[in-house]
Amino acid sequence: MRQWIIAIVLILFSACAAFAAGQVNITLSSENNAVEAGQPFNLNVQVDAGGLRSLPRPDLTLPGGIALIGTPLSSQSFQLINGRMSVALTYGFQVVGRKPGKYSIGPATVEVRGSKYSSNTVTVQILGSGQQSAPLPAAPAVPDAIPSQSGGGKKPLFIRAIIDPTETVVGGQVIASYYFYTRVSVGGLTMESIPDFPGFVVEELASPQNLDFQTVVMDGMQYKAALVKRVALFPVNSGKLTVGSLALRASVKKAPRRDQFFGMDPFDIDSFFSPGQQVSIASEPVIVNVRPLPNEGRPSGFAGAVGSFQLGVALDQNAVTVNTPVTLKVVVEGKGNVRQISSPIVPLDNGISKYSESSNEEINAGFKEVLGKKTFEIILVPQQPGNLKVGPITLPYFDPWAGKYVVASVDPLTLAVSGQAVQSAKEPRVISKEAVMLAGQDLRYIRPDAQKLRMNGSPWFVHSLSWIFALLGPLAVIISAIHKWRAARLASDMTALRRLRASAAIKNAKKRLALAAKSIQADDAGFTTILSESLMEYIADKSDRNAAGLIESDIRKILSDLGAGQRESEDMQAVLDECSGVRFGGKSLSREQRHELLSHAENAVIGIEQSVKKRAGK
Amino acid sequence: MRSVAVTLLFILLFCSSSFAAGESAAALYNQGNKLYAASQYDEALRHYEGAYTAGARDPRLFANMGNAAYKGGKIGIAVWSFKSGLALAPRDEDLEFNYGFAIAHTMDETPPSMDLLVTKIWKGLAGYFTASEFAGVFLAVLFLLCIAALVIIHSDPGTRIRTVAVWACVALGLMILVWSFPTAVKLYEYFYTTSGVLLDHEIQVRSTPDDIGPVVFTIHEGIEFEITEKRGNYAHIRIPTGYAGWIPTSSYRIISP
Repeated sequence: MRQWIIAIVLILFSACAAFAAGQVNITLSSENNAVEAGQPFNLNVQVDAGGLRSLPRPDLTLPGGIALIGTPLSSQSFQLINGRMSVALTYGFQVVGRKPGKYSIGPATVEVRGSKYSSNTVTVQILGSGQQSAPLPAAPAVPDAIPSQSGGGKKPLFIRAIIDPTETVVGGQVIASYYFYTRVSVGGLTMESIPDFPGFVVEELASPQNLDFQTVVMDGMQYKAALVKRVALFPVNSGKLTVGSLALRASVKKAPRRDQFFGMDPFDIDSFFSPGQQVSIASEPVIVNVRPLPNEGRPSGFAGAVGSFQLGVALDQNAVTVNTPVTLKVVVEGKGNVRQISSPIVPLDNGISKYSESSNEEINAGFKEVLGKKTFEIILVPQQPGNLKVGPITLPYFDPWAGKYVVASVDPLTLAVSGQAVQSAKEPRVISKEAVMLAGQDLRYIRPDAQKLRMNGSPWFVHSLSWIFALLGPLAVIISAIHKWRAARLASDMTALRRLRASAAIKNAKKRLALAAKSIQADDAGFTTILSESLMEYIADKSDRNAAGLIESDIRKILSDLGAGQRESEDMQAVLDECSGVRFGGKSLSREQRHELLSHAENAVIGIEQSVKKRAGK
Repeated sequence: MRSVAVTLLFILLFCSSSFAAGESAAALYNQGNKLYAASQYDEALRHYEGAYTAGARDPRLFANMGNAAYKGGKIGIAVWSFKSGLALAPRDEDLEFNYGFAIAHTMDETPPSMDLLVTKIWKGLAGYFTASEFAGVFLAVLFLLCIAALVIIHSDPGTRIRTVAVWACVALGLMILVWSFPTAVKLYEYFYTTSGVLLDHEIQVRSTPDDIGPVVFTIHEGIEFEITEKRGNYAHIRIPTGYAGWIPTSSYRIISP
């Protein structure tokens, strides 16, 4: 707070001191010294005053023949230098000269606290129609006059696409210019979308980094306008082609409200403006009507060149010996799409062969059109002695401005050739830079005979089987990892392991009883041993115990704990008792009795499973 | 059992027919060699073309066919032959030399490469191996990586073999990561891009797939290009400078992958 007070006191003190000094300067300037009659131009009046917060509007004296148009625009700036504040006020007057002649404009006057201050005067020449203004110094970044015909719909800001012409032929040059117009203060501009030009070959003419604003009056309103982009378009197809729209995002600044003004930091010039509002604007797409090239009068050899061109030709040597390469240089220069020009027609005498042809382009994308030149270098090799003719060299093209076909032509050149004629036309050709380096060399010799050649066949990776095979490795890794993870999880979870063992008990019991069935032919002891062991293993799996530790007398209790019914437990006990009787009591069994005992054992296991499940279900 | 026997019979028949075709193509090839030695280049080329039509896709055949075509003044077929041979045997020095020799005698100059270093390295690598080799190395590394992973899964922690397997896994994983990109690009090129060589002496490339559309530019025999689309008897091509347009399909030959 204290710093604020000090700052305000300092400003007031400085302002008073400056005012006391009475420094008011007023300057009048014109943007143009010579303009055409009817062409608007700007006069700027700048008033510099120390210590004043606001200044009145200056008056400008205009002579007869010069009229003011629109309302003057003003801008004010504040500066604090060495503790002294100065205010600079600039008024822009847009005027127009009605009659040719030399006019003295001014002075501009301003009255500050009772004192009247006057500016200098400026002299402007108004030129009659057809007169050219004095040439300006070369300034390639300065665009031409910005169109001011009606079309903005009195919008505060907009983009306009000017297409010239909107009707042409295939290959004809069309200039698309995008202008940005605004009558509000704009803080920043960013390209939101660049236009697309389907069906056109595009050559960039201008895309200024810093927009050069000019003042134009449109529909009675004053706009600041600047060229945003200009391209040359060359249609490749006939029909109605669309020149795309260009979109910009503008940050529009708003003047601060009165109540906000005094809350600002006086040292921060940016705070005098409120934050910008983002606005998106786009130009309208424009249709260009492209006609096909006329068939009438189309010269033979016409290869699509459209524009206005001149030809220049030269040989690098005029006298050579047979089989010495000479370079014919053909330069096509003019306006139009130079890149699309095909090689000119070069008729040659029988004794000359045409070999390599290369070309390069120099494009001068001017502000309003594409100019350029394309140079063709053709290697010619004379094979017969004599005065051989090269040409006449011609280039047929369509002139869209004249609306007709034209054939550019130059007279034939003469090449004096000495020496003896070459017999074969199939000599190794020496034509390009690489070939010159290879001169004296030949192809490497052919491969020897073969018993068998490699035959057509798709490479192995085309067959899906190869990729399925390739996936086996990763699949094995995945399965292995899952198995390992599951085993580790089970090992750490005893309950899960027990449950797994119990659920697998019936499966294992079936396997073991099948083994017992196989041993039914063996002796009684062998059969009953396998059978009783199978049953004990089953009970051990079911109760998660060690089979070796089971005592037959505990079986009934174990089965009862598992939830088996009394009858099933007794059946199981009976089978085990019968087995013990045979094994240790010397009892013998007939074949039928063995089958019956096995059947009892199977029924006992099934019965126990069913009764355990039934009880678990309850 | 019966189906297995039928399958085996078919395989045997296929192998024997393929062997017979290989022998007949070899006979044409050998005959072409004799004619070439006798400087009858056009006749030699006819025999080599016969072997190609019979299904032979051998780098030796393409090498000799290219020589015969060049000597017979058919620069387009020469470029096509050498390029097709290089697609099968990219490290064949003789084929590479002859290809460069033929290219130097074409009319249209290829613009100098403005590639970045990375692109240059990639192009060098891509030109050094075939798509089969890229895919083969990829699968071999993948196989070794799987073995190393299985060893890690089944070995006890802290053992020497597990440590070795872990390091092998890291190294092979990095290798497969680096190698997978060029392999994918090479396979994409194999499956989805088609290149051709112009055989006609001169062709005007047009902006529409017909013979009356505006001429965009002119190309000459031996120039290579990418074929991006086919429509009827016309193909849309793109030459190395980036220019594109339509030419008749009869004017070029596709480079054998």
